[in-house]
Amino acid sequence: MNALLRATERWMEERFPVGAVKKFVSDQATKPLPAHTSWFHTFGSLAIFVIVNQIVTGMLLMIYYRPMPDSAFESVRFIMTKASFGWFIRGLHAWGSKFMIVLLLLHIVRTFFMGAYKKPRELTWVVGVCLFGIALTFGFTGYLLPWNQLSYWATTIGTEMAGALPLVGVQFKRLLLGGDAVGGETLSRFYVVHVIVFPWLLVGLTALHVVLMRAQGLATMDRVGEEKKPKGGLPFVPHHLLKEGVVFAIFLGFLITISILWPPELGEKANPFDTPQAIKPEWYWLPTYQLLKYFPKLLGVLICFLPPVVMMLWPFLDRTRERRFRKRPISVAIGILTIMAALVFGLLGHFSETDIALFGKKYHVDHYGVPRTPTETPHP
Amino acid sequence: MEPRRLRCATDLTGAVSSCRGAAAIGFCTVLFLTAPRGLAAQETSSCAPCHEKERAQEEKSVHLREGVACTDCHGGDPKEIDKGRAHADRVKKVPHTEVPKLCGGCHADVRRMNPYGLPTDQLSRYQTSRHGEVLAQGDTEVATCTDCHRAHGVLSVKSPDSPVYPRNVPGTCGRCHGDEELMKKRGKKSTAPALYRQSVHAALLFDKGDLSAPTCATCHGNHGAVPPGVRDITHVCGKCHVKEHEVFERSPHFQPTRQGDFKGCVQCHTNHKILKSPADIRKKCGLCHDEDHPGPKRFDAIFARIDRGEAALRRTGERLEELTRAGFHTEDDRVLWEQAKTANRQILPGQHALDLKTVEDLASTAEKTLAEVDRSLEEKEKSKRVRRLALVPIWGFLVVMAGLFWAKRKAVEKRAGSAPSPGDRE
Amino acid sequence: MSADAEAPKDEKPAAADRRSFLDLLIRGGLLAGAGAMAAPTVAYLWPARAGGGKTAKVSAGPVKDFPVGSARMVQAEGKPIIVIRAAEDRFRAFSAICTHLGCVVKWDSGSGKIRCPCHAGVFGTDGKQVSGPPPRALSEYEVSIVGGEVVVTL
Repeated sequence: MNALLRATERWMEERFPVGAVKKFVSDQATKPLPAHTSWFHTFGSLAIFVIVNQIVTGMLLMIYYRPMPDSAFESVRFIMTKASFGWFIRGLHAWGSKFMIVLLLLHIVRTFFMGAYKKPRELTWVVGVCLFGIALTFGFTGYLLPWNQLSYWATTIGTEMAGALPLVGVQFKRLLLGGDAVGGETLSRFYVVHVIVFPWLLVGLTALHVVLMRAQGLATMDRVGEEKKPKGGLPFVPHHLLKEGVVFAIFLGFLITISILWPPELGEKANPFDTPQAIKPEWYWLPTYQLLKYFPKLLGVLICFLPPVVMMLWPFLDRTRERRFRKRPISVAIGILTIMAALVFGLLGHFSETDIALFGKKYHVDHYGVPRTPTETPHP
Repeated sequence: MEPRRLRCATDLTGAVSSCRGAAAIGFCTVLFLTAPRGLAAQETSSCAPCHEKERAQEEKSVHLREGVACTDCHGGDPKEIDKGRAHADRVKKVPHTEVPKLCGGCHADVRRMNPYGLPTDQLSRYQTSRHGEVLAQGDTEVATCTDCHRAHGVLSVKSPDSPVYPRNVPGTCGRCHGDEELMKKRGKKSTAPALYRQSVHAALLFDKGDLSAPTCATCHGNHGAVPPGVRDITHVCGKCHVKEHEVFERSPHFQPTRQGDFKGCVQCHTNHKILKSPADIRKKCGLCHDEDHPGPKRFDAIFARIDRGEAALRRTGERLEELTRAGFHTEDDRVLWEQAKTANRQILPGQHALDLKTVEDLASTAEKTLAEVDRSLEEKEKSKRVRRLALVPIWGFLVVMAGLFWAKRKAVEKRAGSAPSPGDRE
Repeated sequence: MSADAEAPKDEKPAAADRRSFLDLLIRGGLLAGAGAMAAPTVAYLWPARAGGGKTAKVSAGPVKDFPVGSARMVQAEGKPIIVIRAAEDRFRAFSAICTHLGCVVKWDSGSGKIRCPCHAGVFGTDGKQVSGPPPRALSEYEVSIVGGEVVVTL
C-alpha cells in the first residue's frame, strides 16, 4: 500500500514537480524587500485588486447585458432594478473604474518621486505607462455601453477628438465608429474591445509588469549603479502582504460605501436627435478636453499627444543618477508642475459652461473657463 | 376712397394706351418665348406680360392652379394681343364694396364648390357679420374677403404663408383691430390683439406651435365675425372647454349669466388676455363681492385644497424620481402616480361649480391613489435605509480585519527579532 | 478593533498560542468575507422575477375574454396602453397618454371612442383626434394574436 502511494508520488513528481513549483513560489514570496518599502508601495497591488474586481463584476454584468442599441439601455435598467444586487455590482464596476485611475495615478506619482523608474527599470516604467493608457481607454469604451444620453454624446465627442488626428484622423474615426456616427456598429466594436481585447491586454501587460518588478527587485533609494542587495529587509510574505491587507480592507470599505450611497445613475436612453447641453467627458479626460479648446484642432491634438509621449520616454530623457528627490530638483519640479497643470486644466474643464457663485456673486464660466458676470455675456 | 379709386382707373387706361404702340412687336416675342413651355390654358392669357406684378402675386394662388383666370374677376379678353381690344370689354379694378358679391359668385355656388368640399355659406355669413353690416351701412373701408384672403395670390388655409393660416390669423385681424386710429374713428378699442398675445391661447399657438389653439376666429367666427353676446359666452368657450362649461351650470354664477347680469367665463378670466392664474382671478371677486362674502372665502378654501393636492403629487413625484435614480424598480408606481395626476388634472375644470365637495371628491380620489404609491415607496425607502445601515456591519467587519492584519504584522515583525525595518513609516 | 485590544492582553502566555489564535481569526475572517461576497453574487445570478432584459411584448389577455367594442388597459415599462377590440378581427393598441397634457385616456363604450377625462379630448378607434384640444393622434403599438392571446409589441 505504502509502496503504491510512493510510486504514485514519484510518478506525479516527475510530471508535476510540486516541490520545484513550491520552491519557486516561496523564493519569490519570501524575497526580502528593501528597507524603505512603505505604505506608499501598496498602490500597485491595490490596482491589481481593482483589476480583479473589474473582471469579476464585469463578468457578472455581461450575464444580463445585451450589446444592441435597442436593448442595451433596457438590459442595464434590468440589472439596476430587477436583478438582485445588480445595482451594487454595477456600482462596484463603475466606481472601480474610477478608483483604478486614482490608484494608478498615485502609483505613478510614487514611482516618479522615488526615482524607481531609473536604470535598469526603464522598461517596467514603459509597460506601466502603457497600462495607464489602457486603463484610460478602458473607461472610455465602457462608458458607451449603458447606451444612455451621456454615454452616447460623450462617445460622439471623444471620437470627434480622435477624428482630428493629422492624416489618418478621418479614417481612424470611421474605424472606431464602424460608420459615420455613433450607432449599433460602434456599440459592438466598443463592447468587443471592452470585454475581450482590453482585459487580455491588461492582464498580460500587468503580468509582464509584475514579472519585471520581481525579477529586478524593488528599487532602493541608492544612486543608479550603486544599488546594494537589500539587507535586513522583511519578506513580501507575510510582512508586506499583511500591510496590503490592512490597506485593502479600508479601501474595500470605501468602494462599497460609495457604491451604496451613490449608485451610478442610468439617465435617459440615448437619443441621436437631442444633444444635451455642455456634455463633458469623465473627470480623468477633463484636462485633455479643456486643453483642446485653447488650440486649433490639429495643434491641440499634437499638444495633447506630447505629455503621454514624454511620459513614456521619461526614463530615457532623465538620465541622472540620483533617486532621492531632494537631490534632483529639476525633475521633481517638472513633476510637480505637470500635476499642477493637470489639476488647473481639469478644474477649468469641470467648471466651464456652468454657473458658479463666488463670494456671494454669481458668475457664468464660459467655454474657456473664464468666469464672467452675467451682464458681460448676454445669454439668449 | 372713391376719388382715389377713380384715379387708379384712369392711370390704368393711360398705361394701356401708351403700351399700345410697342405691343405689336413686343407681344409676338413674348408669346413666342412663353408658349412653347406648354403651360396651362390660363397662362396663355395676354394679361401677364403687362401685369407682371399681379402675375407674380398669383404665382402660388389656388385660383391660378384651379384655372380661375384674371378675366374671371376683372373682365377683358384674354385672347386679344392688342391692349385696346383686350381691355375693350370693361376691364376694371373691382371696387372694394363689390368684392363680397364677386367672390360669392363662385363661392356661394353649391354646384361649383361641391367637388372641393368647400362650404358655400361664407357670403351669407359675411352679410350677417359685423363687417358685412357695416359695409351695408356704407363704411367702405371695412374688411371684405380680400382684406383677409388677399386679392391676388389667395392661398389655402393649410398653407403656412396664407394670412388665414392659424398662426397668421391674429396678425391679419390685428392689422385693422390693432390700428388705434382706425378703431378710434369707429369708437372701438384697439387693445385686443396685444392682450391676446399675452393669453394662454397665444402661448399655445406661438410658443408650443399648437395649431388647434384658438385664434380670434375661434371665438368670433371667421366669415360671420361678431363679438359674442353675454349670454353666448359660455357656449363659445364651452366649444373647447367642455368640462368647464358642463360644470359651470352648477355654479352660483350660472343663473346671473343667463339673465345677462354676469359675463360668464369672461367675467373672471377677461376676454382677450384670458387670465389663468388663480391669484389674478381671485382679484376679480372684488368686482362684485365684499371680502366677507362667503364666495371669495369658498374660492380660497377650494384653491387651498387644490394646492395641497398638487403639493402631495409633487412630493410623491420627487420621491419616485429619487428612488428611480437610486436603482429601484418603480415602473408600477409610476403608472399609479400618472393615474393620480390624471385625477388631479380634473380638479381644475371641476372647480368651476365653485362647490367644495366636488373638489374634495376629486382630490381625495387622487390622494387615495397617491397613498398607495406612497406606501409602496415607503417600503423601497426602507430597503434603501437597510442598504445604508448595512454599511455599519460591513465597516465593522473590515475594520476588524484591518486590525487583525495589523496585529499579525506586528507579531511577524517581532518574530523577525533584532532586525526590524527602520524605514517602515517613511 | 477587538484584535487590537486582545493583542496586549495575551502577551504573557506562550507567544505561539497567541499567534495561532490570530491566524485562526484571520482565516475565519477571510472565509467569512469570501462568503459575504459570494452571497450577493449567487442572488444576482439567480433568475430574476421577470426574466430577461427587455419585455418586448406584453399580453392583454385571451381573445375570448375580449368582447367586440370593449377595451382593456395594460401596462408595460411604466407606460399605460389601451387595447381596443374595434371589430371581430380588429385589435388596436395605443399609448393611453393623452397627447394634450398627458392624462390617461379611457374607453367610452357608449360612443365607441377614446376619451380623455381632463379636457374632453376625443380620439377615434384609429387613435386619431376627433375633437377637443389634443394636438396629435395617440401613438400606436402593434397587436398580434398569438395562440388565442392578444399580444402588444412595444
